[in-house]
Amino acid sequence: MTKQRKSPGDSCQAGASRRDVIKGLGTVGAATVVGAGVAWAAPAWDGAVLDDALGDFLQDHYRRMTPEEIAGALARIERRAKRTYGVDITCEDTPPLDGVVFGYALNLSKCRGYRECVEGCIRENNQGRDSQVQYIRVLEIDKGTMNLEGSDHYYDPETVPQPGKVYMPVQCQQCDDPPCVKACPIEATWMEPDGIVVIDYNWCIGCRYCMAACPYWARHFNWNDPQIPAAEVNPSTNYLGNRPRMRGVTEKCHFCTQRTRKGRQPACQEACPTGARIFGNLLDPASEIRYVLENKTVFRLKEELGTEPKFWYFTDV
Amino acid sequence: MRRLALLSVLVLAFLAPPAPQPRAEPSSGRPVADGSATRDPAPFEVVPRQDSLLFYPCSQCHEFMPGHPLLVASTRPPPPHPERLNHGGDRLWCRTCHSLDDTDHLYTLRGQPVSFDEVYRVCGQCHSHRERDWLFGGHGKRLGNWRGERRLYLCTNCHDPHDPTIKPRKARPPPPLRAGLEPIATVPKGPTMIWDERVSP
Repeated sequence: MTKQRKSPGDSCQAGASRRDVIKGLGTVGAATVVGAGVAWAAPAWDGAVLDDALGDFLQDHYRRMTPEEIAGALARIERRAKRTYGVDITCEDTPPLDGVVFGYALNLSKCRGYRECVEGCIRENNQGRDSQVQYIRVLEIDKGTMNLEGSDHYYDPETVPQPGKVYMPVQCQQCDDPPCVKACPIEATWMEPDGIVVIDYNWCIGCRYCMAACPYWARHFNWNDPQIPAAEVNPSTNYLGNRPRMRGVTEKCHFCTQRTRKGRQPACQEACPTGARIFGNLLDPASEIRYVLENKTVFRLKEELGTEPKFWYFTDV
Repeated sequence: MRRLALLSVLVLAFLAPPAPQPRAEPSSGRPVADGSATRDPAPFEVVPRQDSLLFYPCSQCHEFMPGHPLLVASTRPPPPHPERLNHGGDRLWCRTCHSLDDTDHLYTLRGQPVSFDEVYRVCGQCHSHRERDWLFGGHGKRLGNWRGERRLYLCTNCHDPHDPTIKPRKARPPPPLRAGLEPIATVPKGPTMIWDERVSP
């Protein structure tokens, strides 16, 4: 599952020829615009250049794009965010780190159901404020059971934790054998070398097969364009991460690729006030997550399905 | 007499190493992980707390207000001291961790002065499992990064040492519902526990 990106020289003949034809059409269109007295690359209609109008349509799969094409895609994302939200964002394509496979451990004894991780995730990942797209779902479960079917994630009492309840945040478990990847008919989602299952939002056709395949209810569908107040848009974004998404694509937790690939903690870990969340490199024997996995009694959710989640739960002592 | 016996047992049980330097470098005498007996915790820095204490240094006042020589466990110290100690039942009192002779430090049961920035050495005397987890990253919170320099919250950044239980509070709002929809009904909760079924009024 290594990223294979073609160099500018070689090309997939069939796809390239199709694109070349359409690009040619685009050039004709541009010539028309120029002929109408508008300078090339100047804002044409609604502040958009021709690239913005056709670029997304012509864009290839992330893993087949050349570095130049990626740069163009990132620039288009930044311009679109400026048009949509009026905010200057930076969109990067941060590569996975060598010798790193990310894992997460969550201490159920510490989680108290504050939903601070949910809030931190929404703000970090530019999720629509009124949409149901929330990567983390905190389940309220009766003590003495592990009945996910009987759990409630709409709980809203005066104070948490409520007596007789335990709280279990569930998000993408970053399976090592991810069923969502198998289900995707167009390979718009895949596992990166650092173990994060990512989505090329531009390639996604919104069929939602992956949502049906996921046993953790971790994937979400964008029914609307995300509505975010301009002041709250997170301007530090990543192509495979938290860049503003479009309507009609599926998305999910990506372990905050925009942060973790630069050595920072994911936003949910940073937001959690209880210290229940422990994130780190599974390949580093000195890491905190390895300490937890080696010294605590841990379990994985629905492990019997064989999806090999890289997300563990544990309790104190 | 009973307290004295308990104290001596604790002192024997937690023979702590000499006071470390401000920059904590856990020596090989620190507790080690179960799974890897030779492993030491990685070096770390703590979020300093001493300077953010409102009345620190305590000696500013206590220079002129020496402690009452007859101070006993039932004494209620006046403000700004905490009104009551809700920690450890009746096993602890002020001078379990504080000293009237040197108010600017905490003291271990063995009588070693400990800076407020190394409070885990005092807490860890009883909560040794927590201290070990904290040193290795299984308890508490690491700030900022997942690799490189470790920067940790101290025990007292999250827990009030005089009332350490975290109090319940309001949660962030639940996920929004699409207009016109009801929350997805969960499986009705009946008497799921055997004692709910068997024990009837």
